[in-house]
Formats: sequence, C-alpha cells, structure tokens
Amino acid sequence: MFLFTASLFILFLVSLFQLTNYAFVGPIKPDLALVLVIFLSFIYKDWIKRLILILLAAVIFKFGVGLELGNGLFIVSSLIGIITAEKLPGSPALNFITGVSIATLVMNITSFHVTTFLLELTYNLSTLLVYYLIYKLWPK
Amino acid sequence: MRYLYICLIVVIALSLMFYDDLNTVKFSGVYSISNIFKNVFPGEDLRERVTVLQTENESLRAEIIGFKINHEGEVKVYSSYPFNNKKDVSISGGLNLGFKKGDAVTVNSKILVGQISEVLSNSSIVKTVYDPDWEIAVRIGEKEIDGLLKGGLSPVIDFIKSDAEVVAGDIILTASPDLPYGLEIGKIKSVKDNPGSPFKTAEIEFAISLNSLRDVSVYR
Repeated sequence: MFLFTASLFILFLVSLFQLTNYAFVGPIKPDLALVLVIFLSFIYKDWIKRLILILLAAVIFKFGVGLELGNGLFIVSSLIGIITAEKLPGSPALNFITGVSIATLVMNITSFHVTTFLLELTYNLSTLLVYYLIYKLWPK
Repeated sequence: MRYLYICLIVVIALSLMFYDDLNTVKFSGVYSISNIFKNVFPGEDLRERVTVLQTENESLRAEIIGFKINHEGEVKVYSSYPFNNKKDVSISGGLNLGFKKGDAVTVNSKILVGQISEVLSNSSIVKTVYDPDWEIAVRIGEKEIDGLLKGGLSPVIDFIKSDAEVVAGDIILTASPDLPYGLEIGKIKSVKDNPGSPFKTAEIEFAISLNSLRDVSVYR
C-alpha cells in the first residue's frame, strides 16, 4: 500500500512538472508521465492499480472543460503501451521499448509530423532508461 | 481494499469529465512548482531576466514600427499544454476578468502570442501561434505584402506572390479580421521560390519563445 501511494505521489509530481515550461527540451515536451505509467506497469500487475495511475495522470493533464482529445489519446496510448509491453514475446527490455514507441506513435496520431515524432520518441526512450536506472539503483 | 481502488477510479473518472474550477487550483499549483524550480536551479533567475529584457527589446522594436494597442493589464501564464500535438497555454484570468473567446493575447500589447480558445471561471486557454493548426492572414515588411501564416514546429508563410519583394529580416504583422491589425508576429528567416507555382513560401522566426512566456496582456 505504501509503495503504491508513493508511486501515486511521484506520478502526481511528474505530471505537474510536465505542465510547466521546464519540461520542454528544445521545442518538444517528453511524455514523462506516459513513460512512467508504462514503466510502473512492470511493477504493478493489477489492472485496477494501473487504471488508477493512468486516470490520475489524465486528470492532472486536463486542460479545459469536458472530454478532451488529448486526455483520451493519453489514456488510449497508455493502455496500448502497457498491453504491448506485457503481451509481446521476447525480453522485457525490448518489450517495454516497443511499448513506449507504439504509445508515442498513438499520441501523435492526430497531428503527425516526422520531426516531432522522432524527437519525442528519442526523449521518451531516454526517459524510460532513466526510470529503469533509478529503479535498479534504488536500495531494496 | 479492492472496493477502495474501484471508488478511487470512479472519483477520478468523474473528475475527468466534470470539474472546472479545480483547473484553476491545479494551474496555480503548476505555477508554484515553476517558481520553486526558478529558485533551485542556479542562474535560472538570471536567465529569466535576460528573457524579459529580450521580450522588452522586441516590443520596443515593434513600437518603433508605429503600432500601439491599448494595454489592458498583464496576467500570468500558468502552464503550457502537456503534449506536443497542441501548443496551448493557460493564463490566470477568465470570466472573472471579462475575457472572451477570440480575444487576442499579446506580450506588452505589441507581439502576438495567440487567441483565447476557451474561457473558464478564473483561467483561460490560449491557442498560440506555435500551434500546428494556427493559420492567419499576415502582412510582410514595409510594402505590406500579403501572406498566410501556418504555425507549428517549422512555421511558414504561404501564398506569397512569386514577384513580391520579400527578404530575410522583414517584419511580419497580423492582418486578420479576428485580431487587432499590426501586432508583430516575427521575422522572415528565409524565402523559398517554388518553380512553376505562382506563389513562394517563407520560413519565419517567431518574436517570442513559448518556453519563456511569463506575463501576457489580453486585448479586448
């Protein structure tokens, strides 16, 4: 319970950070929360916990009133990324890289620009590596 | 415990659909986090002062061109859209300050940032010139040559007559019926001739950087 609460808090902070201008790397914002949600699916196998994480980030990202396309896309790409990472055969590392890549593609599906997509993908995969390193280095 | 999680999902899902004023609280929180980072990272304060001075320089240059708009008071920029398919920002001030959908948002009343696309109780959402869907009529340079600005990561001006004299460095001003006339948008970066086409295109450089927006004015 404590671990899940801590994960919720970290996701909350990461999502708020993604709303600030400090999240920009040049003209692009990496999808810090999307990658974190997909990465946390490695730790939490229960779908209810995964849904709570996804919906918490989606609520924080809500920019206007009513249902938004951006929010919907975020939820759909998170789910697709998690399912891809879980169901693919092969090593977990490769599966998660594929999951994040496909989630990034889905996020860009309504407004696809090659340069934006490639930059975003690079930053997202770098973020995944950072999360993995923090997880590995964290004292158990 | 499972029922607690399910209740949590339902509450969050309902919040996704129905809240409005909580948006303002969230945006204020984001603004506070930005201020924390400003104090934590060394040199961040200095960088912000440089950005403010650069923006003032740009708006003074716009004033030399001779276009002045009534100043309506400045509001803070809370946060920017979290994803890359839009380049919206949220500003402090909404129905409480009399803002309306379509109001022009500027820096120092001289440089165009965008237009208000949604008005909430205490905050507003602004669609900026960096948005890939942004298109407005513009005039270029002293000869006021017509063109169509298309926003995005690589903004361009399209439909410039092929015989028009447009050079790098020409100032781009608004000429859309939805916006005050003569707000500066940026400068021409380079011009590209399209062989066989009656029009040429130009790449542009915006006068302001989205990353460094802090205070804006709303023209009503």
